[in-house]
Amino acid sequence: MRIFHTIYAFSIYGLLSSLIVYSINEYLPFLSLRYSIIFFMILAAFISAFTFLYENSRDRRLRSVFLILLAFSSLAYLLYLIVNATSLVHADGVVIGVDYSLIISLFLVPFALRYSQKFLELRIEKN
Amino acid sequence: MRIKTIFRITIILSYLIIVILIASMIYPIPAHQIEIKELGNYYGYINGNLTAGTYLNINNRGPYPINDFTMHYDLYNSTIKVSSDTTNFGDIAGNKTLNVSFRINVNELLIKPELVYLIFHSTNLTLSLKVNGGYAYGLVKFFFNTNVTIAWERLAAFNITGHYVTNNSTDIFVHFPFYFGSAPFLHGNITLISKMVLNGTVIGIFNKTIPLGTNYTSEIIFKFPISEMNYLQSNVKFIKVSFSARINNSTVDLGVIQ
Repeated sequence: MRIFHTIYAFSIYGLLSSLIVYSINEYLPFLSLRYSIIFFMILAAFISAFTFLYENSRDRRLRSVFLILLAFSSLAYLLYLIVNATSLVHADGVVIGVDYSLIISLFLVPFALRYSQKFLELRIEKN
Repeated sequence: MRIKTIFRITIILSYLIIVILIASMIYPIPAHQIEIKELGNYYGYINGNLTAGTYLNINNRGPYPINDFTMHYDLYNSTIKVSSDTTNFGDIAGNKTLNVSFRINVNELLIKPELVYLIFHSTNLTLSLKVNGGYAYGLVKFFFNTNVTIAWERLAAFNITGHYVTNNSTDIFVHFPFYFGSAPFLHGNITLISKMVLNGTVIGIFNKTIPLGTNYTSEIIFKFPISEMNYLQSNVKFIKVSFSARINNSTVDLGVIQ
């Protein structure tokens, strides 16, 4: 089950995002995104690695450390999405830009809840 | 265990709310709930400005308003700014008709030295248009930038309609009949400056004050002593006559004839 979590983390955060960005750049050339596939893959690799380490470590202290690192990696991923959340459409000398950073920043709420829950679980385990 | 369940339900609910919010923001676009129609154009001299405009009807039947809909434009002749303005149309919810207009202040054309050129010359102007606003209470922001080339028609025309020579016992007169017409809303006077030049040397100057806002025909007359007649006749193909106009201490070239 734990290895599936890792695969899930990598595919969702890295492969899927890269595939979306690549497809848009390749098949919708009038639409430009500010996202870089390399950034997605690096952040996804970190998230996958820390997911794996967090779920496989038996030491509670190490689990806390890996959870903090995992939270920071996920936060970096989310912040990368927020900061670069502007898409531009180029057509006949017209540039239309859409900034959806506020919408993506709403995902900070479930993010905060998710990691609060995990830290709470660790604390309960400790006690 | 109970706290864990509460967290899980809250996370699922927050995801659900975000997804519904995003879906309800995207849905009006494919469902054509936001329609923009052009209701007609107008062009003319309005309150001291040359104004071109259009009425845009925006029918927003979507669940969210368009917020702070703002339009800014800069109008350039090459790199010289001719006019610029910002209009805030406010929030658009339901059916709203906007008067989108672009203005050039005629007095500025007459006063500013860098703009006087436009009174006498047709050219292409560049309209740099920037529209921006927000949607769904500012959760999504959008902007629209474009540069459009616009043909500018001169407001005054100066034409030399021919030339002829007369003389009396002491002098010869070289006549250049001309037509000067300008748009009725232009006010004031211009000074028409004509110079006859032979091999780089000015041999005759004629200035004439002409009222703006009228159609005017008259003659530019250069006067020479009759003793110079042979000299002028022998050099006639080297003589150039240049015309320029002076408005409020700004001078504009109107052309040269040979």
